Amino acid sequence: MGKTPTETDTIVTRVLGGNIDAYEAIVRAYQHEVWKVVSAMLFNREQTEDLVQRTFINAYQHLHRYQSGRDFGAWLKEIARNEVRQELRRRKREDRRLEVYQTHVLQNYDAAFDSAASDRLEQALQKCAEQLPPASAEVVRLRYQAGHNFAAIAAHLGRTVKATRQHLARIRLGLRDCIQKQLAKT
Amino acid sequence: MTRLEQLTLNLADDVLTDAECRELRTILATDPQAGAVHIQILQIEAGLRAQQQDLNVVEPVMQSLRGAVADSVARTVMSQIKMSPAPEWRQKEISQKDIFRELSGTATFPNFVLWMRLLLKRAWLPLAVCLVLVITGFGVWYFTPTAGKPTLAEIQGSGLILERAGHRLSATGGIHLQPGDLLRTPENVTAVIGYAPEATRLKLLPGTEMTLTAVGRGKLFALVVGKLEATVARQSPFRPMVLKTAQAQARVVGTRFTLTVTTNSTRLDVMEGKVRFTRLSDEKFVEVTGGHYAMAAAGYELAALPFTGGITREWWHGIQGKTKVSLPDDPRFPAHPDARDTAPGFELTIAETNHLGVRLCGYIHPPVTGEYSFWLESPPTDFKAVGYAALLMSPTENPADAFEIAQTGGSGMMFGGAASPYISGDSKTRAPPPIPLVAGRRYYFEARMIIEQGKGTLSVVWQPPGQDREVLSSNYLSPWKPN
Repeated sequence: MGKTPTETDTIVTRVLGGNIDAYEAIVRAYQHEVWKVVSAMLFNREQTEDLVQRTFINAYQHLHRYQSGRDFGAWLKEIARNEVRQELRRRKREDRRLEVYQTHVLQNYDAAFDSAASDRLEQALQKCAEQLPPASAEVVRLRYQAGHNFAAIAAHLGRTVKATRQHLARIRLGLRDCIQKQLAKT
Repeated sequence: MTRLEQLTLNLADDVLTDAECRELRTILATDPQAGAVHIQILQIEAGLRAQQQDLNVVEPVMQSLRGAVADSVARTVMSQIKMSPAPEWRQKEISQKDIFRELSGTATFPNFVLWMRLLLKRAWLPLAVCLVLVITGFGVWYFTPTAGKPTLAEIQGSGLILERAGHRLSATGGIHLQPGDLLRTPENVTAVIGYAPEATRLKLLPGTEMTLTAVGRGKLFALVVGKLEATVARQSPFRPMVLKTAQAQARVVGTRFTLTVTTNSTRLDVMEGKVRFTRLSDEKFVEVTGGHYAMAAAGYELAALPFTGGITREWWHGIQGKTKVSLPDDPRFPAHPDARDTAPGFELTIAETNHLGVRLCGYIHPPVTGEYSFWLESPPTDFKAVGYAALLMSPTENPADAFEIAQTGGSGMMFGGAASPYISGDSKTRAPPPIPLVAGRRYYFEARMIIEQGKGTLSVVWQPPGQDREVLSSNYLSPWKPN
């Protein structure tokens, strides 16, 4: 998955030397990190895909500005955050439903980005998700890892869409309680 | 589960209704604790969404970059070729030019014959080549006037979908399109396909799905659904632009038009130029010129008709006397109205006034062949209102053939008295005699109303074959123009 800074710099040098195919290794290595940044703001898979792709294209176009030896992932995520900011500005008038949440995340962007807090939240979520009963874990896997919609999950599990949504709602609220306890411990 | 939690989860699942959205906003605005709960839940949703596997990123990014690099390489190579000295194989061509340089230094009119002889003797080959090049150039100019490649020239809004070989690509402005590419414009998104340097532009309006079928052998598209506005530069007769839908095919050599496709119909509106519009079910075609439209749909006569939308409205102030629909008695009728404009449809509301005459006239374009019923409706408006209204229709497009098919008039709660079987008061229980109309033709139609006192409202309602009653929409009307 991840690449060491030296490996990344070597690949960047090859790309800058004209070997465009080498860039594929960078996209593979960092796509999940960029996905995390973008999907945290846009609760829509297609729009997220679009913006993640745009981030990598933008990074390629400005690859000469990357300073060798620095954290490439951090540089890439900053580009992703800028793409997100621009996207939210573009759609501010048409989609205000996530306004409170997005404003909160943007404020985090604009302040010194607290990656430690973000990491703690991520670790707590992972720990709580591991404690889920198998049936709940399966619903989470189908919804978030496989990316299925509720109709497909309901059909797969032999339930109604409404029951599936209610189940997932309970799971998420349970995860929230679990995460709060985990964070309180640290 | 609290209401706030429920609404936030609905938001996360993208099933929040507008009413719920308003409710959520109110809760967030009034409850100081609500924001934190709302954000916590959405942070968990974001964290879960970040676990997404099977990301569609690598292939689309690499395809976009390889395409962009190929273009960039081509541009760089061409610019370097232009800057560098001529290669050896071009030196011979250049040396031929020296002959002309030598001759031009000595050429004067008295020596013209000598000059020509010398030229033909020493430079017949370049001359022949020049002649061939001129003829070829003219042929190229005439038969292949277009050479641009399809490019996503403009995108308004976000979420444009570009699919290539089953992969979603990042649809950024400037990306070159390839045969087989599918473009889908969601709501609030428009995209323009350009063919620079030629001026051809195709604008895909929101809700449109289109595939580029071919690029090199003409411009071929398959429009699945939606609406497209096109400005097409002159195309080669051998390589025209062709747009195919489920019902029809539009062959374009150079024009400005829109094409609207629904599940059951295709409508072509031509603003400038000419388009050959072929109905695929029977291969019949019609040439549609500027200012006209044609429709391919079941039960519709294939014909080029003038644009629909709007109707002519005229009015006369100071109509005197209770003569019922007496506009024809007024010496100013019909040639000298006090004013004339275009109204959007057969619905008219007159504010408080006295002695006002109004005429709405134009053409009806029936969408299908069959029997149509018409009603003239003047709903209750004012206890004091006094007025009259009439509806006339022609079996042709000639206004002189028009005759009265409905009338209403009187005073009191509504214009309805007891004047005709088609008046509003009876319209719901008594159907008027149906009138046979042929789709693809147009029929002259006229409504007149006189307000002697008070306010007035008038609308024309129709019932097409097999459909419900509805106010006659401007989609089926075109304005009458005085000679």
